[in-house]
Amino acid sequence: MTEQTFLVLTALAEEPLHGYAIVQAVDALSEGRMKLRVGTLYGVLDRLVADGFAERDREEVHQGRLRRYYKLTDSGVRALSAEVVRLSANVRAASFVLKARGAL
Amino acid sequence: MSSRLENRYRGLLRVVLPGWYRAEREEEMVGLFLADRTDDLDLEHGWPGWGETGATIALGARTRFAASGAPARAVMVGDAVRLIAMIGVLVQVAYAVQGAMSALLWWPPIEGGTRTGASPFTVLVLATDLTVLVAAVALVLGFRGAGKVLLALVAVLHLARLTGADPYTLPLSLFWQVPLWLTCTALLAGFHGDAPTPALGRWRWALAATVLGSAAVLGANVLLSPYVIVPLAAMAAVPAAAVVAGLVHLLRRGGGVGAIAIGVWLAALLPVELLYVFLSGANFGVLVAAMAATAAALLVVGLREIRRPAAAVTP
Repeated sequence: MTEQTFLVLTALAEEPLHGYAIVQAVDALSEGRMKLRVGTLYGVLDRLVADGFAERDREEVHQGRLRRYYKLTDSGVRALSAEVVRLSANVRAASFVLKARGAL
Repeated sequence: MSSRLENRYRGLLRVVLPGWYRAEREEEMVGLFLADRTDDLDLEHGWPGWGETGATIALGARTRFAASGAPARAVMVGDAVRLIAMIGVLVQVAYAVQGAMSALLWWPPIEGGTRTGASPFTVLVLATDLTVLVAAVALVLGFRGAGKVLLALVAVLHLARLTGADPYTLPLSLFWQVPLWLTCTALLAGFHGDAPTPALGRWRWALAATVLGSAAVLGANVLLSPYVIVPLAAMAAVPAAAVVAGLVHLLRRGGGVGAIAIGVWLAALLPVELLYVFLSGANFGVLVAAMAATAAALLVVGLREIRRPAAAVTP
């Protein structure tokens, strides 16, 4: 799972979001490191929908513009949980080595 | 009234993304793109920017040459592009094997009856050919990223090789770039992040057969005529193999994806073949006619099927 996919899934885990809110959430989650472009976001969303990890929720019109909301599916929650477990194990292993070196 | 920036962004989407995707996503994408661009000066004079353009082009590749989650026609076009890329890799390998073998058989090069050090051009030719082989091996072993980077490097090295071409052979050298650039473009466009991995086992066998076949053609050339090495792979063996593959495909009533891929390759090889005939005076009229006729028949069959697509295949 790429970092982009991971962060979009994390953003959607809290509540259904529209595209602009996802971009802002990913920016905040990555502390400004990752700024999703429109083309990139829709590439990620298409893949998540195709894989069954996310699905369309409701649509709204905001200031004359269409906003489509996306929400996480149960399968998406399981995929995110599995990724969190994998990354946590990696962090634990790295922390153990660094502590042994006195670098942490 | 929409701003000029909005019109420019919509223009970008129109050029890059397929109609079916725009019908689904355009309004949503425009809304998101303009959400942060509220400055009047920006709305009048701003442009989407290189980063956004690049991201849209990548999305365009994913949707135009789709792998899944798209209309059957888009998936079929995507499968055809991926098959064109894989066949193209084999074509490049057939050329590279002969190029590398020729360079190594007469290494170090002989000039004026004495063996001399290799010229920079000879080294460049050998390096390019060996890089093609490494790229092909990387691709069939599943290292898609490395294969793409290496083949793009080969395309750049081939441009450098043009500096060593004399005016007489420059047109041939330029036309020879067509198959390489076709391979590179198809590889980069077709094998995007969503694209499935090709059936690697089958392509490994095809790569091995291509290497052996191309080496055998050069070996026969050396045995029959040790002092005159003809680029037989490019001149006759590859086009003839493509004609045979095309005819077999037509006779077996193969699918549209294969028909388009082989047809496109025959069409791409035709200018090189015509130039060979023109420059060498070789009597390859039958081969040229067979290439043109087979390409036309395959493209008609393929395009007819693409209008009413059945199930797409993975190369």
